[in-house]
Amino acid sequence: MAFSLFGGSDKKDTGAVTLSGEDSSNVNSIKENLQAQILQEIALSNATELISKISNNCYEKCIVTPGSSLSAADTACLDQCSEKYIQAWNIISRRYLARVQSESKNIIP
Amino acid sequence: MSQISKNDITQLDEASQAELLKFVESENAKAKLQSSIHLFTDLCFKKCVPSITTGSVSQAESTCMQLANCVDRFLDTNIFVVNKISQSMQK
Repeated sequence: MAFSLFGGSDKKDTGAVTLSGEDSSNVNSIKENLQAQILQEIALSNATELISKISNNCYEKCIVTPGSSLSAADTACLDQCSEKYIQAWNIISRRYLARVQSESKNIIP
Repeated sequence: MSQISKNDITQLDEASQAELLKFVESENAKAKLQSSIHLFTDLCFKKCVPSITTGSVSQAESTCMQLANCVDRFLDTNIFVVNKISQSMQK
């Protein structure tokens, strides 16, 4: 596959840069571009997941009887609930990663 | 943001393709961990936070989430079930 790449390098428009130099910088920029896109997709899906979980949990806890609009008390509760959920996320995250690490030590001493 | 095209990927040499594959695998593993954390936070928030009175996690709630071991007991439960099922399958 690598050989066909050398043969197919028809996108050169300047003869000034050496073949290998341009090839490798092109490859690097494609690679970095792909990696950045992947990271961005992951960050987006992570944020979406967090928003959906907070919405569900805090709706359940704060909006007991839905009125015609959010009351001041509702908003205050939602605000506190979101803060609380994010704190909980951080606590669980630390705890779970610690457990994963100690379990992996048990399997591979 | 530009989309990933098949053309871009075929332009990569084998070493870069291998490197990308490794990158995807490791990001995938991280994403799986994150998704477990989402699951556990959801679970433990429901179990440990009875009502919203303040904007921060109280001592009792924090204890429920880490010391009284919402996560740890869930994992123990999971391991227990896995062992039980695999035992019954060996019979």
